[in-house]
Amino acid sequence: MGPLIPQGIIPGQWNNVIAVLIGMAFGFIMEGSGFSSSRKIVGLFYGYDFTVLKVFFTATVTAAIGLLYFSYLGWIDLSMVHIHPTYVTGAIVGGVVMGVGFVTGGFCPGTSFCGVAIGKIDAIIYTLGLMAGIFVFSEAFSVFEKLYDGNYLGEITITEFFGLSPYLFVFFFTLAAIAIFFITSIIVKRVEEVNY
Amino acid sequence: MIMKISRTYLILSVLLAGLAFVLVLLPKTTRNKEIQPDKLLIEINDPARFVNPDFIAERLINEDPSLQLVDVRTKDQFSKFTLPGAVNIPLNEMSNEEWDESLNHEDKDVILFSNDDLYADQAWIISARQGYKNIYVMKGGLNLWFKDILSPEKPSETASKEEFETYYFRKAAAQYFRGPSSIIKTDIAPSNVELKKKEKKISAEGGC
Repeated sequence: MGPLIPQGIIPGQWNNVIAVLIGMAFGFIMEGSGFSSSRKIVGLFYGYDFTVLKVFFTATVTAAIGLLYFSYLGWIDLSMVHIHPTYVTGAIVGGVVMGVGFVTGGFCPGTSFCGVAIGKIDAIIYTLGLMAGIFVFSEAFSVFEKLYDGNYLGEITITEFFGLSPYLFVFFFTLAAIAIFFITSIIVKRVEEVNY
Repeated sequence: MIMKISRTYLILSVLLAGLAFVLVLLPKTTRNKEIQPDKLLIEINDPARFVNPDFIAERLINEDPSLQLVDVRTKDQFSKFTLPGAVNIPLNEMSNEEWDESLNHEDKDVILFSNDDLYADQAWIISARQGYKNIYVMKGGLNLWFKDILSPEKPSETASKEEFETYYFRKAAAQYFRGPSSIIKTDIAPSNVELKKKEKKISAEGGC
């Protein structure tokens, strides 16, 4: 029966309304888990707090397992699910830029808005920088266009690209996630306690 | 070093790994993009997929851009005769993915035809199972096309007005599709009389 909107079970006009509701829930939970604190977020890079890693890994694994079960039970047609197109060059360069911004500023785009919502001055400055970056990029897009479109692979998934079984891939990915949770908890114990 | 891991995390980890492992063990099913059998049955019983040759002739004459004719006969037959603007997709190649471009139209009506409507209807079932939309079948096929459009029969004197209108439309369509050679054939020999043009009187231009 799913996905609900492409199948017409929920009319397409609800798309934006649902997006706003999900966005509010997402922001609420991020704030609740302390993601609006830049110190907590950069803990990932200094080794004293791996909450960000754990949250995103758990979300990915849960969604992957859930989608495969849904597809198996016929609840969702995976061929109709939107797959974000892959631009390899853009993803690498953008990833580096984002990573540097992440560790120096202490926010990722989503959490910076969370910080703005609770009135954090560093988050407000960060968001202004973000807007400036968007403006510069948009204005100078013709300069970046080649880089942006480089090595386009289309709407491809990692299992399709390497010809793997999605079930096996998700299984090993889950094991890797659990192993990483375990290792990071050891690291946190060994690192000197940081008060933040 | 022995670490104490909290019970909750241990249970959650085992649960996740277990669920993921069961996925690997599940029997694999392949889901085709074909439509469901019950849905197909409903569509097969729906005669709305058949369109009359008159309807197609009218749209061809009006050069309707949202019309895509598809000839499902063999290449041989296609090269001998086909309808204007038709593309050839032989029935036995219908499920080939290379024809996707000709069949997959959101904004066009794809009309399949063959000599009769039997093969075209089979082609329709194949394309319906592939999930294509806006696919229709020309009723009666080319046989009916020849009978109705290219050599229409004059209705009897007592026929209704609509029948006469259809007849006149078909007459006109026949001229359109057969070309100018079909318009007038008379036994009268061309006369040798030279026609002299009357010289035009030049009238005063303008007016009040």
